Amino acid sequence: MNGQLDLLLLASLGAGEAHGYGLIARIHERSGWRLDLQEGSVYPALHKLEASGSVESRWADDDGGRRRVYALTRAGQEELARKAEEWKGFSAAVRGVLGTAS
Amino acid sequence: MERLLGGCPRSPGDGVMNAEDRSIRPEGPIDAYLDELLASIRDGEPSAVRRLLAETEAHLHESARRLHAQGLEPEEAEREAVRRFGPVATVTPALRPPLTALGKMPLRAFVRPAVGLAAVGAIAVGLSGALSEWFGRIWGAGFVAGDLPGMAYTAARCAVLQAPYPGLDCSRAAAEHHWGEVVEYRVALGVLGLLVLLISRFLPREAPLPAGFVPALAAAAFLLAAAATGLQTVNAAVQGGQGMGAWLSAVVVSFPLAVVFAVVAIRHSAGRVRYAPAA
Repeated sequence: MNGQLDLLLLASLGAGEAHGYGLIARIHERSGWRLDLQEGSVYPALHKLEASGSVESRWADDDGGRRRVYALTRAGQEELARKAEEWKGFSAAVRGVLGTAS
Repeated sequence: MERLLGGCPRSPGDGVMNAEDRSIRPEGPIDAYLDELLASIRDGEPSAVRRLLAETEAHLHESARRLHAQGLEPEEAEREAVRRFGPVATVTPALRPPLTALGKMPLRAFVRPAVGLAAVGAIAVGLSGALSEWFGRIWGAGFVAGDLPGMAYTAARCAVLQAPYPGLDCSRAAAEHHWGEVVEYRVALGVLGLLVLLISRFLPREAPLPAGFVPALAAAAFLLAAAATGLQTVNAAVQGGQGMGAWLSAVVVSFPLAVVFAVVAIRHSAGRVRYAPAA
């Protein structure tokens, strides 16, 4: 499932700001532990989303340490809505094909 | 969330290695991973390097803490955390500029990758030369370097070609001669490529190019080479197969390389999400 990481991260950030580890945990939890990803790949994706303006980040204190936490920007919310619509459309199309095949 | 990351509620300090643990094992798998990461990104922009290292370190330690709380031994927990994080190459694209920034990159940023690509191309030619030698030994010089129908040599040229191969007719002598050239010239280019690759390691590292760009370029170049030499192979095959081996050896080398570079490019440019159906 290449190319869906951005959508998953944006959707996960839709629940509120979080650091990379927390976002992965949300993705696992919300997917019923059906989606797995190489955890390190989240950071290049988050940095790319930040460079594109969909996400912003800041340092935050966490148990005495510093963590980089990410949040959706307004542009990110719009991007999330657009990508979610695209995915729903694609998903509906595949379901349609599967329905006619069964 | 807890099921994935260890199954235990997080509390301040849970699973944190105490001072005694640290004195017993000061350098663990996470330290080794961070060292490897730092070595591979040391040429990046300092604040970006610092940020990526801090994020990686915090992530790995939190993951290890949770796994330790779940029951794994500290070192095992660190090793598992590193495994889940993925190889260093998974995270280094974070320091690469987006593809859209390619046009703004300074020309010097392309020198080292271009030299490296040229070296890899030359090495591939060298490999095809070695393969041509093997093809010739198995199927004869004509298979590698025989002339297509219609080729004719002057008597003077035939005499030159036949001189080292007494007893062979002109076309066979020409095939032997050209087989030798195919192998020698290509292998020589391959050796030159190895030298250039070695030298390219010492060229200054400039701003990194977008993740996956260089492998994608290599994949495209090798695919183009495979397509062009593939057409020549088919052309030689339909005309009797003489001289087919020289082209075929290039296809056999360039096509797998195109696939390998394409896979590398895809892995560098997109995070992968795996779907595991519930049991």
